[in-house]
Amino acid sequence: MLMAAGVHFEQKYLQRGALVPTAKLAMWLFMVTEIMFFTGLIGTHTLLRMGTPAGDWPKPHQVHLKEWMGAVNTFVLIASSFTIVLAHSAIARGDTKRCLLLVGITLFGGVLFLGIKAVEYTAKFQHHIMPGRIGDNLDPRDGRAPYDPNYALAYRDEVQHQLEDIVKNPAKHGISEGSEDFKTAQSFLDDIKGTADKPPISPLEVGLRLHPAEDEKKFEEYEKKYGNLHLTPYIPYGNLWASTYFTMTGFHAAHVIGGLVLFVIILLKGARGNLLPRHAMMLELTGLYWHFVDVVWIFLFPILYLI
Amino acid sequence: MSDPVHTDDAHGAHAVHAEHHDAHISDKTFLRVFGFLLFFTAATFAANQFLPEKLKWLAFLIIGGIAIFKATLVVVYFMHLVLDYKKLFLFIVPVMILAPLIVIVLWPDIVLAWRLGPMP
Repeated sequence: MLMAAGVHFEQKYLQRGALVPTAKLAMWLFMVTEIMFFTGLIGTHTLLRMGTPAGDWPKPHQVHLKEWMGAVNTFVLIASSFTIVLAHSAIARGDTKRCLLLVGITLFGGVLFLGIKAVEYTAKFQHHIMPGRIGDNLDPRDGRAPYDPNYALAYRDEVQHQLEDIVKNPAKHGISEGSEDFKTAQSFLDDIKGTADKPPISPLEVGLRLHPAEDEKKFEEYEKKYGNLHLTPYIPYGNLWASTYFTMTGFHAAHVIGGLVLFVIILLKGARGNLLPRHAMMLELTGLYWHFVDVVWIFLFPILYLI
Repeated sequence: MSDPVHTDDAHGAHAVHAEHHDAHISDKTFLRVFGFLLFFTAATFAANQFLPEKLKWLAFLIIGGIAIFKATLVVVYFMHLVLDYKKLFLFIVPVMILAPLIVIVLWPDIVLAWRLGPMP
């Protein structure tokens, strides 16, 4: 209202700037850029996957992906999202103790998520499922990609070295001398080196033996025969799959670690008795970030594990 | 300009509470949303396990639809967007349009080009 003697603004009727607190605005702005970041990654995966011929993209069991582990991770993240929002609700009411307890539970959830991820990654590494380390592009008749014979021969050499190491020190690989696995390794090695009457088998033939089948039953036979030998598998488009998988889940895990740092800061503040009800905004913004991490995983889980 | 959120007086918390939440989401609502999220996670997993190969397109639709719905629930309730949307939509809507557009724009070069034949 303008008074006659001078100008008297009533502050609350004059809104300059954004209608939300600055900190919240900044957090949303940051999250929007992160949405674009993850869209780039997920979009790349989508495009590359849609670009492979129908049916050729590796199935989950071929790349040792267990859907139930992803489902448990989804549950863990959703539960931790729930606890952090309760923590913010608690501190807004003034209940700091309960808030700290809930933040601690959220931190535990995040650590559990990373632990399950670590188990999954270890399983992949043990099966040689890493970008650039999977046997690929071994078929000279496949006209879709330029065939490089040296690349295919390098794959056969790698398998040969692995088999030679198994035959020389079976104990190092957990295989006993007279077992089925040892005999399989020995005969495989003979086929690769070739004998007087049989020429060495081609890289494609090596790959076809080490190819985890799409059919579940054939896959079980493959696992029984070659499972313990841990040789480099042949998975068409497997390197592309591994690249996109590790990029997406790796960056997501990095974001989870960032969230855990925020929780530790809050817990340390609480341990020193410095967490007060006026710090509710801090809880809200931490919660916003953590929910964003959860939403990204909600999309990553079906894209990578299910569809 | 003095931002009510950052006043250090004893009514700081109250000011925070009153300033941007005239309404406020109750713990019970959060619990209900959590329940929905758990149910739909289980439904997604079940759709993946139990739908036969022939209905893969249906599984795709169900799983994708549920994922979008779950993300919406988290954003609207856990992220308080149901209260703050009017103030924040100018940030969010353009990005939501831009994000799928980036994928669509690259579709002819990366996805459709495979159909033209072997690379030179």
